Amino acid sequence: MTQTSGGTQWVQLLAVSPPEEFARAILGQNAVHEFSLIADQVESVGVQDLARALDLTLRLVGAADALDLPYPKARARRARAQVLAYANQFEDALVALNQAVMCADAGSHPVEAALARMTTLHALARLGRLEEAATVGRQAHAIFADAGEALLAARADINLGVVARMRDHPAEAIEHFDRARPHVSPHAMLAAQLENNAAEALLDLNRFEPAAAAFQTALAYFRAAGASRAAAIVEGNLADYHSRRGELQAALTHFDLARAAFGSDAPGDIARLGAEQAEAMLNSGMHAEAVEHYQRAIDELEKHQLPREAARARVGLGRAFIAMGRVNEAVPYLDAAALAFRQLRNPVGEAHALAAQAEIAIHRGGGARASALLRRALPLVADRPAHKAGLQVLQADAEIQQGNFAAAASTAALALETGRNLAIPPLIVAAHKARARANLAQGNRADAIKDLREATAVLEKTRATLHSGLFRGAFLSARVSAFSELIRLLLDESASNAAEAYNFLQRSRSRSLLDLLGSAHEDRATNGGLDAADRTCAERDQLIGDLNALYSKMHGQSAMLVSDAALTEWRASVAHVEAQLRSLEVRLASNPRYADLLSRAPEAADVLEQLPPGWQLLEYFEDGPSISAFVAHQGSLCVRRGLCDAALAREAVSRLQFQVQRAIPRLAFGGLSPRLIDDGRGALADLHALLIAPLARVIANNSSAIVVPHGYLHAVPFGALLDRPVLQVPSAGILPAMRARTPRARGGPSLVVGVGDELAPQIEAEAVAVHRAVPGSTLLTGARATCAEVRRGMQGAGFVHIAGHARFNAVDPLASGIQLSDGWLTARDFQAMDLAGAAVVLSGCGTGQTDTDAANESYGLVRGVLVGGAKTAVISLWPVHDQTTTEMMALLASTLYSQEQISPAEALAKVVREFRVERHPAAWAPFICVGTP
Amino acid sequence: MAPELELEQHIAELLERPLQGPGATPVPQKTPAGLAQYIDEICRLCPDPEPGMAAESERLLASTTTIRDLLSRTSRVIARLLTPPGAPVLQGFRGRASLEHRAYTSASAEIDVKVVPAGDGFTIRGQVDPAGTNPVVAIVLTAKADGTVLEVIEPGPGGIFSLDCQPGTYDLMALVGAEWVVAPDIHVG
Repeated sequence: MTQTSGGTQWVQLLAVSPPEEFARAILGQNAVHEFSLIADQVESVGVQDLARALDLTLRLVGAADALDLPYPKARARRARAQVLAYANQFEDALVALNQAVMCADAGSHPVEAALARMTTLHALARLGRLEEAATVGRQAHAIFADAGEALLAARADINLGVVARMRDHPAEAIEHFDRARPHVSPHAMLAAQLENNAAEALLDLNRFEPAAAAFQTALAYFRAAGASRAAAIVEGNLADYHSRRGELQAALTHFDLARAAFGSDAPGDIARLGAEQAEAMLNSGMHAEAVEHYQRAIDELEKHQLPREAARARVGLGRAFIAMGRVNEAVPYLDAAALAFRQLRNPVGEAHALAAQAEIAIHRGGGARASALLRRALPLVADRPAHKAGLQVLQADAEIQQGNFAAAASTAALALETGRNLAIPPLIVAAHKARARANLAQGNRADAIKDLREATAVLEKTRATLHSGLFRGAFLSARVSAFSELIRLLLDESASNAAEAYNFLQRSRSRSLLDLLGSAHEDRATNGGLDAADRTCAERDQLIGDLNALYSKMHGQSAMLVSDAALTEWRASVAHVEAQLRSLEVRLASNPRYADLLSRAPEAADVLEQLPPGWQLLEYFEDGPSISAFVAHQGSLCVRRGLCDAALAREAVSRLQFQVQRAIPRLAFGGLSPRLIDDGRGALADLHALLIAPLARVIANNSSAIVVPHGYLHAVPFGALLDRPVLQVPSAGILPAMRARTPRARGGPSLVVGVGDELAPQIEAEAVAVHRAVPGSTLLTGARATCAEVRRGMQGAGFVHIAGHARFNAVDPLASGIQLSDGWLTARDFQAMDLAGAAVVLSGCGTGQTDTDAANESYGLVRGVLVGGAKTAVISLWPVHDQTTTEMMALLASTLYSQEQISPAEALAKVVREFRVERHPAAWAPFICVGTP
Repeated sequence: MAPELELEQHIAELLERPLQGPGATPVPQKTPAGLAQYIDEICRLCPDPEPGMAAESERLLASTTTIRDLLSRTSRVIARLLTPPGAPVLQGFRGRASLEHRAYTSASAEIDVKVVPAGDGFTIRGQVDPAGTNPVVAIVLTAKADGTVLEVIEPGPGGIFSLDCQPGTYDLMALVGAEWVVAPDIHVG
């Protein structure tokens, strides 16, 4: 933008003078040249102060008309149109531009007329009138070329390329960009714009490598020019690039960078980013978060007249609903998106909408309808191999539903080949799974197993690239079916596959918790058994930790707080650590123990090794439509399949919860009838019949049990079913890490806390009773039991008993906590503590309630306590009755401390046995003991 | 006026059973569904019915059993909530009651309901526990706004039932012996 003091003075005069007076003043002052400078200046005002620019351009048009010269009249109108476009008043802008072209043509100013056409192209493109935009763009290009204006012609080519992309003609766009490239290389900003747009077109064509190179070139140009906002746009595009390649961590990182760089003054761009970020979340399995982001983004995208992006977001939202099983909610969004894409003449977008509709048809068993939809969609993405492969995966499923198994396997194989060629892990996994289903349908179990083994191997590798535990958890949860299908097939093939199937079960469960609890290699390190690969793995963990710290440093910081220099430095640090990490992963990949070391999921042998004499492991899992269990005891592992129907088990859990909730208000307000007690016992008996009785032959007499529930079975108090010491854990995989914790010796420091009120007046009496039973314990009750005091008291304590009101937060389970005198002690607080092998009792309502996902990742207070280092924790699965709990906890503490060798699980079993007679299970059964022997 | 639910034969008979004691109003045996089928048949055989036929059909339909008839002819009690709505604090507990679970009580029966999401809608799961020996004969779900009867079912063993519904406010009625026990204001969604 040209800036002259003269131009500035003229603008100041323009702002205060009547147009005729201004025209008189400028007349004879090289009016044509000055007018051009003033128009440039006024346009630049529009970027910062739209209202002022609208006023100035109106005055400029008046002055030009007063001068009555063709060029000023044309230039003033072009400036006016430009500012109107800034204000999203595109129709008004088009009227002004039409006049500008006429004025310029009348005065034989072809270049000015062509410039007005270029502005027209912008306005038409924003209105979605893409064919008209391309026509005026081509007219402008021809004029510039005839006039020998090579740079302007190149700019016209760039604009035509952008419009071609918008018309979904990326190959044509690339031709325009290639034609412009030689003329713009000396102009950094223009070259950067060209490369960014060219990269997007290449990305549209799934030409990933050249797209990445072009994005990097654009980023370098923009950074060199100090254009941080434009660089942020490229960051956003790079995030989209990584997302489409299934490189989820890199995608989310670039989104955060772009968002921080945009700040809050670019709502349209932020909305676009929000939608793309939602897509990455969807792909990483964070479906609820994706829905939230999409819904927010759609409103904003519409507000900022970005119909194509809004339609794309609608497709994403529909897919997120499908992934969550809320299929009916997906339908209107997909219908609206399909319609919008048709109106926008965007065939690829329409193909996406059709694909999602096909997914719904498959979900509803309508394979023929899905095939019909996909037949319409496939030609629309003929030149997009990745998109086409995605549709082929769906097509394979549709063919399976129609009984065309061989065709389905071939179609999935084509998709797999594309996924491998383009190196897109999620596509590879989806294609393997589809081919496995097709092979299985043909009775070819061996090939199906082979496919699923490969799919799970890819999942393992991809999971390992995600640096945040949250993403890793969501990623696995969304794809856990590959593991469960493989486990089922392995067991179907032969009972001798039990150990291998068990290993896959461990790889699919509670992996994020396992990461948090510490890793197997650390245990080996403690035992002095580190080999070269273990050391590499330890280095890798250190780097991931460093990266997490670096990412955390940036998270949430706005561009206002981050200077370009700091950002550059930060980016360099991230790039350096990322490069080191990649190098380490390559080294690990060459090691035969690679997968295990990366994931560190213990294998059957590791788990068996951790079972002390007298303990038996019962690990439940969903086995197709049934519940099955692995049973480990005295160095042997077996599987018992088909214990019960999974739907019946789920229903029985709901029935128990219903009976508990039925009893609770009657325990509080009176009216608990013998019939209600019978119903409660009946619910427990039903669960026993489904989950325990079928295992009667393999459950050893007189043994204690470690129970690993599956999903919704986490809500079952297995101690109440088994009548023996029971420890419940979210995954057997955590046993090695947990077993390494040494319980504190009795008699050391202990802490007893009680914070009651008028609703639960027995709490403090409980604390006093427990304090009396635990020699040397510190007692904190009432106002003295502050968060700070309790935290202090817990450090180094071997036994911690906290009685109080508690809550489970379903929206944010890690915000669940127990109430102290001045606030809540939450799961996150516990997570940050060093409980160092302590035995913990949390005697409040629902302290053991969790939100458990498909990968058995349990979120709630118990996660915090386990991560914080506790050896065991006695917690409750539902609201606890004040009086009964006080009595039970007093007995628990006295049992624990009167018999030196008794464990918390054994003590709890004794207490439960005492209390279960004649009481409703709601009162005596809520407590479970988690942890390890 | 919202459309009235037509009673299937077995439900009509079921609902009639406790009303057959002394003083019970006899109920015509034909259900509206059956009658409508009968009228359809007449119309098929006689495409141009005489002017009075439509009015006669209306009269016949109006005289047949509908659930609204039965509700209007039977005594009912309104059960009260055990836990105050909106503030489910529980005396003697270390936390709050579930917001999804509502426990109603009356001299005739206790009704517990829990609303749970199910697919694209919701399910009201519940159990009726009669105070005496009277059986739980039927469960009826009506719209709060206009009393439209939406569903009539027989409960399972132990008075357990399950009803699918969409977001809205409902009254749930249990026919216990010859008395309706109403659990009012069940908010769904």
